[in-house]
Amino acid sequence: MRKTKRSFAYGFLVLSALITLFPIWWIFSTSFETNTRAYSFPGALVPQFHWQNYQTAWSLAPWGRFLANSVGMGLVTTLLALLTSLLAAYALVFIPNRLNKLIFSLILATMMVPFYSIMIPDYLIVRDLGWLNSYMAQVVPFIANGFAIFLFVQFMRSFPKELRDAALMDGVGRWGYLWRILVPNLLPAINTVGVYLFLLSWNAFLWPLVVTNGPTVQPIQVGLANFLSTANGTDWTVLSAAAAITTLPMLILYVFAQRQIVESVSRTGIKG
Amino acid sequence: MSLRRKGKASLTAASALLLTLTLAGCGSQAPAPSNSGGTPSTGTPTQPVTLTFWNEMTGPYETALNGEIQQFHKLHPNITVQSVVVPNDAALEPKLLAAVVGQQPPTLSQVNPPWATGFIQTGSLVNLTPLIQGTHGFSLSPYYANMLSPGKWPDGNQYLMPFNLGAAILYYNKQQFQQAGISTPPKTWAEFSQDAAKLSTHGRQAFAITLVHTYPWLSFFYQAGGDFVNPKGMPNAAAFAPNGPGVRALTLWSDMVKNGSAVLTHGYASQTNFANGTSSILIGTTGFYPYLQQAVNNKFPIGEAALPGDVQQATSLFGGYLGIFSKSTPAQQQAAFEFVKYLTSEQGTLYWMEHSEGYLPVRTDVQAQAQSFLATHPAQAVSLTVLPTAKMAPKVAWWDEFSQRVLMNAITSVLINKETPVVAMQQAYTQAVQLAQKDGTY
Repeated sequence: MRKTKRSFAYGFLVLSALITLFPIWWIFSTSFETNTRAYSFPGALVPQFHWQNYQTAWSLAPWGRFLANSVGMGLVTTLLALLTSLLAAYALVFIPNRLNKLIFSLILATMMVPFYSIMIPDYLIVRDLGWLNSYMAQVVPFIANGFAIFLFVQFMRSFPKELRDAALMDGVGRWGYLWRILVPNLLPAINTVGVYLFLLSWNAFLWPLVVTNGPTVQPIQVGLANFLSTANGTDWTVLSAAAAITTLPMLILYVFAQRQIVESVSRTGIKG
Repeated sequence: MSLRRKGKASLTAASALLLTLTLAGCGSQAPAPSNSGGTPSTGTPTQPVTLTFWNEMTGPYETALNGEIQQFHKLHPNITVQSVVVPNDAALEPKLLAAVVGQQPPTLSQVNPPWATGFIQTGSLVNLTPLIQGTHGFSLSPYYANMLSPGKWPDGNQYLMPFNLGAAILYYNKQQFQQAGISTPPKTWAEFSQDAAKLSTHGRQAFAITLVHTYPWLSFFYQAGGDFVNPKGMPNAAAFAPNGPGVRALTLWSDMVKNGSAVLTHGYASQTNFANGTSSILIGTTGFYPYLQQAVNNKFPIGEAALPGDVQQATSLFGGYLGIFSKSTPAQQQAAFEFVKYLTSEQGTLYWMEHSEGYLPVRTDVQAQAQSFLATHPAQAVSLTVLPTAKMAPKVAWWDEFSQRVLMNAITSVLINKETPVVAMQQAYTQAVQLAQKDGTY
C-alpha cells in the first residue's frame, strides 16, 4: 500500500517535472532548428544543432550589453533596496513613534497603486532630474520597495524583545544592534527579499522602455521585446535563440540560488 | 479582458486626461505649433541637425528602415536621423504619451491616427499642410486617397502622412485547393464558406483565424457595407444593428467555426497551422508573406488572392503613420519634414516596398517602376490590386480601445460560442458609446 502511494507520488512528480521542463526544452531545441522543422511536429523535439540561429540572433542585437545592463542594474537596485528597506523596517519596529502606524500604512498603500497611474508623474520627476535615458532613471525609483519593507517588518517583529534589551544593556547602540545582531539573524529573510527584488528588476519592461531611448542603457527585457514579434509574424527559430540567450543567465542563477529562490517564491508568493 | 489590455486602457484614459490638463492647462509651458500659420521654412538645413525618429520597425523591418536612413543621409548630409525602435503599439503609445506630457517628445514618430487627436488638440503635433503647400512642399495627388485621409483631420489639415501600411489579402494552399477540386480562390462569401467546408475534414479546419488585431475581421465588416463611425465621429448605431453588417460578418465566421471549417487561433499560430498544412486559408497583410514563405519552404505553392466580397469588395489597411512633434526646434522640424518627404517620395517608397518585406507603396506612381519586383512578389502584386478598395480603421480617439478591447472581446466571445452575434454587437454598441463619451471623437 505504502509502495503504491510512493509510486503514485513519484509518478506525479515526474509528470510535473516533465510538464515544467518541456517548454524550456522546446525553446532550446527550437533555437537549434531550421525553419522547416520548427513548423512541424515532432520536428523540434530532437534538436538539429543548427547554430546559425544563434549567430543571427547575436548579430541582430547587442545582447552582451543588454545582459550587462540587466545584471548591473539588478544588483545595484537589489543592494540599495535591501539597505533602504532594512533601515525603514528597523525604524518602524524598533524606534517608537506615534506616527509609525500611519507611516507603515502609507508604505503599504504604495503597493496598491497601479504602476500605470504613477508612470507619468514618475516620468516628470525623472525628466526634471535630468535622468532620462540613464541607469539612474531605471534604478533610483526602485530602491525603495514597500513590499520589501513590509516583509522585513514582519520578520523583525518576530524577534524577541528581550534580545534587543540585552544588547542595549551590553552597550550595543541602535546601529550596532541592526548590523551586528539583526542582520546576521535575518540572512535567510534578506536572501528571500533579495531574490524577489532582483527578479523584479530583471523583469522590468515598461518603465525602462518609457525612460530610455537606446540599447546603451536598456535592459534585456526591452531588447528581447524587439524579437517577440513584428506586426506581421514571428521568426520562431531566431526568437528561440534570443530567448535561450536571455534565459540562460537566470537558469544558471537558479542552479546556484535554488533554495533562496524557492523560499522567495513560497514566502512572497510572487513568481519571477 | 486581459490585464495587459485593462492596464493599457486605463493608461490611455489617464494619460489622455493628463496630457490635456498638463498641456492645455499650463498654457505657458505648452509649445505653440511653430508653423500653424505663415509661410513655413523648409528645405535642406544649412547647419547639421539631428532628429530622433521613434518607430516600431523591429526585426527585418529595422534593417529596411536603416537602409532608408542611409539613403537619406547620402542625399542630406547635414541631417542625422536617430532611429529609436520600440517593439509595438502597446509600448509606443505610453512612451509617446509620457514623453509628450513631459515635453520630451521625439522629433518624428510613428503614430496611429486614433492617438493623434489629443496631440493635435494640445498643439503637440505639427500641422503638415502649410509645409506641404509651402515652397519646399510636394504634391499630394500621387498618393492613394484612402491612405492619406486617415491623416487628415476634419479641420482640413494633414497632420500625419502614411508610411508602413499593408492590406489584408487571402493566402491559400494551392495544392489542397486543387486536391479538393477548387480551381479558383473564393470571390464571394458563399464561395468562401463552401470552399472552406470542402477543404475541412474531421478535426482539421480549413480557415485558421488570426485575431492578434481586429483588421482581418474588419475586412469582412467593410465587405458587408459596415462603418462603425458616423459623420460626427460617434458610434454608428446601424453598424451594430441586429440586421447590420457587424452581426452579418460575425455570423459568417461564427457559422464557419460551428460547422468545423474555421478555427480561432492564438497569436500567430494561424501561420504555423498554414505552414504545416493543417489549415488551407489564412487572412493577413502582405507582411505575412516573408514569414509564410520561410515556414512553408516550398512544401506547397502558396496562392494569394483578393478577399471575397459581400455587398461590396473591400479590405482592411493596417499599419502606421508619421507625425512631427512641435516641441522640436524649427531646424529639427524642417529636417523631419525633409525625411517624411523622402520616405513618401517615389524613391523612398519604392525602396521601402522592395526592402521592407511586405509594406506597400503609399503612392500610385510607384507601381510602374516596380514591375520586376512585383513579378516575383505576388503578395504585393495582389495587394496593389485591392488597394483602391482598402479601408483604414477610423481615426476617432475612442477607436483604439474599442477595437483592441471591446470589438476583440465581441468577436472572441462569438467565436467561442459564449455570445450570439446580435447580443455581442448590442453590448459592443453600449460600450462604444461610453468610450466615445469618455475619450471624445476628433
